[in-house]
Amino acid sequence: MRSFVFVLLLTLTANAQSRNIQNEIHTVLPQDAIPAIFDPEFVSVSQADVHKDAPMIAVSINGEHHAYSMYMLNRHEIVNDIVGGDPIATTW
Amino acid sequence: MYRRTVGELALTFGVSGKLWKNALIMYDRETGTLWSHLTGEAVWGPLEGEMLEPVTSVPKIKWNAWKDLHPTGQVLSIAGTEYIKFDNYNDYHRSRRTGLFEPGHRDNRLRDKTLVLGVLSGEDRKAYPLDKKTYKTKQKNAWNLIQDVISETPVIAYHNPDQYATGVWNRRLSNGTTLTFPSPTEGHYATDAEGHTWNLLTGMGPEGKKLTPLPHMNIYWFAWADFYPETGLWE
Repeated sequence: MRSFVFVLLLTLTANAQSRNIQNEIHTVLPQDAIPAIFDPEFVSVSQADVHKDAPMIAVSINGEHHAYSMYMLNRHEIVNDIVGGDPIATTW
Repeated sequence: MYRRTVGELALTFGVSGKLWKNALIMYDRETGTLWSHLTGEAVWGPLEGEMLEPVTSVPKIKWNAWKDLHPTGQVLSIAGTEYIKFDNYNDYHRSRRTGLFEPGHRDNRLRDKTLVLGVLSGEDRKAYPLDKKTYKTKQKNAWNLIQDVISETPVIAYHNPDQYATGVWNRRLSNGTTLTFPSPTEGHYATDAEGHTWNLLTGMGPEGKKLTPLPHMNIYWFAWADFYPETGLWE
């Protein structure tokens, strides 16, 4: 993914199509080149196969607890989830 | 982490491919508005100026620690996998690079790639460095706590470097009492001056009492200070 980002960065900054709100926004990839997750699936803690030291991002709402592998989120960046009845966005 | 609901509308977010101050810009599929994932603010589009409400989360914690805390929890699974071994940002973390672009505002109080606990307390912003020696005591699994006051809010910041885990809470209870903690923790439990024990990862205390959480991030100093140039710094 990383080399893909750098190749696209070189191409796109050469054509500099950036929306300059305060001159600080840079377009580095096409929209959705990194696929966010819209219908996340979950397994229980007992079913999950995760390394003991794996870094996770976690949330608890209304008695419901969700965890997301940080390294897996590198590839998706956003999970559109519902936890304890609350629609939430987990971002990384 | 944010609530996706703005007014009556539950938005769904995709990756725009744009960066602002080196951080991801999201877009919502319902209106095409662009949002900063770091501040939750809509920076362009029909919903410009709206703010997403932050949800207090544990920004980083080791699997073993979390699964013991929440055995009934659910874990994100993609194509039958809950975990991958490889962090494709590994080289970036080891480097001095501050992302793809130089920060717009650099604050030299700390080195760029110092990890900090960035705390949002109302309108206030304050960072607490996550260096191990601040939190380590001579005993195993006993961690020093940071007790501070941000404007008029008494806070407690808990960090367990072995588990990456962090918890930041308002030390003032709903009945007006402000808790103080005279000793380091035992694991993620801490005992207040009255002898009551609190879980500093969940905020749960005696008799069903619960501490009010403060949203916080486990983040590089350069990114935090670029977004929040007005930030205080714990020293």
